[in-house]
Amino acid sequence: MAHFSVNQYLHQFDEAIQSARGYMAAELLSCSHPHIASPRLQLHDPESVVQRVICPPWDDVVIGHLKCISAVNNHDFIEAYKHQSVTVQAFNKILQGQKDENWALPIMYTLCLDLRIFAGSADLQLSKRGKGKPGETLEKAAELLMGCFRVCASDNRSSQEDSKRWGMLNLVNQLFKIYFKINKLHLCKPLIRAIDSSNLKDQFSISQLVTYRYYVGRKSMFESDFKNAEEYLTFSFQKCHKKATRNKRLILIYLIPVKMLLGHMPSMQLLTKYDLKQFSEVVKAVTEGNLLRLSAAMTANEAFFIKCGIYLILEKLKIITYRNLFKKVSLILKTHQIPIDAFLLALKFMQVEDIDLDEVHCILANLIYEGKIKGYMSHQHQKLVVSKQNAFPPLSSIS
Amino acid sequence: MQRKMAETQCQWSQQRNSQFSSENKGGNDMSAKEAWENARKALNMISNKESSTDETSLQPQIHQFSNNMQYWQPSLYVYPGFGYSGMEACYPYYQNPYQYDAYYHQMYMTQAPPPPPPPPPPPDNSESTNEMKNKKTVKEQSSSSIKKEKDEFIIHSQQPPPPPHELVQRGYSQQGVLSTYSPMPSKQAPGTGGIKFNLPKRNVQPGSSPLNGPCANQGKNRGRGRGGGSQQTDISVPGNQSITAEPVSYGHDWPESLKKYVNEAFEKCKTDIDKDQVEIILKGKLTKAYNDGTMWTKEWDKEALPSIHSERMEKEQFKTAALEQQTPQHFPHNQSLFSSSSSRSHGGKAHTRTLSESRSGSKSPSVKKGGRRHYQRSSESDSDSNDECRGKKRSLNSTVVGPTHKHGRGEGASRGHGRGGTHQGNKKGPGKKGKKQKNKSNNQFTVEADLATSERLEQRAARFQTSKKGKSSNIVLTVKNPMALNEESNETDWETANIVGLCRDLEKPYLRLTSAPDASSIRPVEVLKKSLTMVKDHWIKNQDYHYACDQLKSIRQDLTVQGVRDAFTVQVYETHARIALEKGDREEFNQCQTQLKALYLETGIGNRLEFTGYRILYYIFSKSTLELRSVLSCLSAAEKENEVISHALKLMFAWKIGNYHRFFKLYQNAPKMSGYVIDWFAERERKHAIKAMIKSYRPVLPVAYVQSEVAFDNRDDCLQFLRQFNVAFADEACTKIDCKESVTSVMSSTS
Repeated sequence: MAHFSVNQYLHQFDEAIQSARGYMAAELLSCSHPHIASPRLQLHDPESVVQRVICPPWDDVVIGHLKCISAVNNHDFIEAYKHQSVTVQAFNKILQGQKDENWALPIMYTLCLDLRIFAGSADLQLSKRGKGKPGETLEKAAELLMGCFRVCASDNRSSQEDSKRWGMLNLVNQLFKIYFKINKLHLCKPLIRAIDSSNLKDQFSISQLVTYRYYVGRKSMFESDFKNAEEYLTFSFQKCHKKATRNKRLILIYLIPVKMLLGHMPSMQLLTKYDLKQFSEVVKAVTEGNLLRLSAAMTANEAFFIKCGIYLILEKLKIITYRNLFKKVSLILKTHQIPIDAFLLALKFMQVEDIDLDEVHCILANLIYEGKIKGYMSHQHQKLVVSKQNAFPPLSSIS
Repeated sequence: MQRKMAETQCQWSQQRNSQFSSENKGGNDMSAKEAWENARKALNMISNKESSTDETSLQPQIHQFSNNMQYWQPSLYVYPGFGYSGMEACYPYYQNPYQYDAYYHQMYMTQAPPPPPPPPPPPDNSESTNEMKNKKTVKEQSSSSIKKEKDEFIIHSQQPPPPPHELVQRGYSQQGVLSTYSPMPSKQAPGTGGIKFNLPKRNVQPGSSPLNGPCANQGKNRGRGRGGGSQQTDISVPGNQSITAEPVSYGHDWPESLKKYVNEAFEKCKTDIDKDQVEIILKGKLTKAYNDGTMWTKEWDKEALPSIHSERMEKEQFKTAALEQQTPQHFPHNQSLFSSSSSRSHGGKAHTRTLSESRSGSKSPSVKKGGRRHYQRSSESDSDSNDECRGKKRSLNSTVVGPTHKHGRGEGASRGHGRGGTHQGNKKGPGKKGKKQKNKSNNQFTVEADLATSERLEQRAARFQTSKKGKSSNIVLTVKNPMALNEESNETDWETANIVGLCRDLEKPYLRLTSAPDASSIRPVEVLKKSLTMVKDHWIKNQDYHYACDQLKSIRQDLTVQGVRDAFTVQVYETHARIALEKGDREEFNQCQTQLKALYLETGIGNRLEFTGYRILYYIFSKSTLELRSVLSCLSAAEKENEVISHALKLMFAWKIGNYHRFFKLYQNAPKMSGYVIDWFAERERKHAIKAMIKSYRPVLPVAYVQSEVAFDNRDDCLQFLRQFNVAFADEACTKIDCKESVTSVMSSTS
């Protein structure tokens, strides 16, 4: 493979196209396939050679790919991206012309995957040279992918098994990856709508669904829709291939905070298994209602949490920690009418700085408002009156 | 406006006079006639719509040209002459297009008229000995200029002395490349031309020019000026004669102003070379105008005349003398243009040469230019077209800079610029492009801005001001109108080219641009600075937000159009952001802070931390969790210590967990202008707080407590706020809220 001659290569590709073998053709157009290492395929002017063997319209695709190979071997990803985008455009035209057949979808997957990877590398190279805005190439790649997506999504006439709509989810996932990278989550919305309204919604391949739900779950989490986030991320985590430990870990980084907010603490065993010790202190602090420990744990792992974008969400764990702390206070006092001073004392014990009685009022009001404490406050008596039964309902039961 | 009109009229009558007078002096100069004949043919061809042949012949050259553009790109990012060492990163907007040449091609092809082809490599060995030649040229010039000073009169009345670079020049003109090339520098801003090409001035010049006249009797240099003057009238005669006949026979459909323009151009010619050049130039100009269809719409009166070879020669000789003769009036002008080199402007010719020979200083070109400008001013008394200034400068630049410049070498050799080529070591022309372009065009601007009298003085003064501050405002190109843009494009990448405005108004209403900007309505930075001060004062006095916003928007627009992104731009945006904050104009504030974010990144000046703080608050307002997340990840520990930022962060955490008590305490102690941003979402947070309180307190809640918790200044405001929820009060005096009764109505109220 690595010593493919041009003719061998071209004839193989031609055969694949003629016999409509999408996966074979896709391999031959993939930039992660061994054939790209072949020095004999790195031509300066592949046009004439290619056109002798491959007939239009596929010749443009192959020419683009061969040029891309040269660029990749020169480690010039800006150039590689350019050629790959030409390739994708040429392919997209072919795809659009194909009616009632979807054998070429694997080719699309490969081309689009490579396009995205090159765009990412091109951005890196550009920024190293001090040119271009970050994410600029990725954005352009996203536009191309959207072009493919439109072709796929609009293929309504063909029967389900021949429909190009099967390709939608793969593209959506590629686009998600770009949008998450360049921080343009608002662009995900129409894609999610398109998938949700599709009748293939749950029939896509499981691997694509895992990816899809991972991103949608993350998105829901950022939008503070924790219920949805939990559902999607849990699906992802459970269906993710068990050998894909890295992916599972990635899912957990978001699933754990969401679960915690909803009252489910992860086991230490899980955290050790996926090397997420950063969470362990946080988990312990929250469970204990130990604000001091929590803030120490947050500070210690601040960089990691900020990098993952979960710092602000973890901040919300403070509320649960308050609840756990106050529950302890009420258990100690063994009364339904707890002076608010007692909570203040507890908080001061936790070295919460510059806190006053009114702030404790505020915290309690919020806890009651959110249903985490059953009861009410009397302003006149400065007391919290808690329900006789189940004053601190389990967090997981709160809707 | 009226004055302009009057001047144009005056010009007209003067023109007629000059025609007559030149007719009288009747030219028997055969070569001149021949030259004119050629021009006539060319013009005729245009008017007969045979220009298509021209176009086809141009085609391959166009291609070549655009290829070259690509080739040069890297050099575009360097502006070392101005000491902006780290500038590359600061010009992202202008860099982008070059990464995508396909895009660029398209732009280029669609927007520009048939672009002037690059001058083909000069024939014979001049190419190979390119560099040597350049070196020599300069040397030879210096010696020749001394010589010329002696026999100046001969030079003019007879054949021009063979300039050292004649060979090169011939090579060019034979190929006719100059034709499309030359006209470009001569574009005029609407309105400037009329004043500038004041014919009276020129006609008067020989005898009574205040500058030249008296000088004529004092020593060689000054006598020279006079000789030049008288020369003009004499030699222009033959050309003129044919011209008066010409428009009648061929150009009935030509606009009157064009005929006059052609007349004038030839009138200036003194030698054969001049005429050849002018012919070529005019041909190119007219072809272009014809193709564009602007022949009849263009204001030919305002068009700059083509540069004349002999005039350039004169100037070359004059340089040294002119430097010494510098009148104080000219001085600031010069300085202002080349702030970076102003201190050297006294360097004079000899100095420059040394530099250029040794190819040492990247600044030497500007020295030359400085000298050059002095020279021009004193000798030509402004009536001159700026062409020569440009052409000359280019060549000078190239001789000196080409080799020192990173990219200059190879490119330069492969594609000299036709125009500059007629003079000295032109072949390097493009080499200096990236670096020197701005200088050059800046120059152009000043020359063009050579308006009459008071206005000119004012401009000079203004420019001087800017230059003292050494702002990048100097690094800008002059592009006059869409037409000019097109013409300009053959030597300036006008993707990078910015406009320098000519408008002097302090006030200007904001109008969204729907077409290419027009320099006459755009204010240069020095005016904008005054404008900003004016707007600030006005705002402090009158608090008229509508006015301030409008004015600031137009200032912003002018800055954007001119591509100015420096400390002043930051100042403008900060000012607008502050005023918008005060007045609660969220939209404008958001625009400003978005721009500021980018500007801080580029320039690193201004109140970055303060405005980052406001930005955090703005994100809280817009509930942009994602943005907050990314801001948070960018802040260093030291930055978090900043007063505004730390406050904003504390507020964010309080907001995140709904801690209204802390939130409103922070609100009451907001530093700087944070309070204005928080104002925008304080109401929202109050609603949340009220809901939480009403739900959690039983049986009653004192209004006074609510008031203090959510930071109402007085009880009435608080009551008014509570009433919108239909809160039920437990007593007549409305001091206590009956929480149980109020729960339903408060909870059901929208968010």
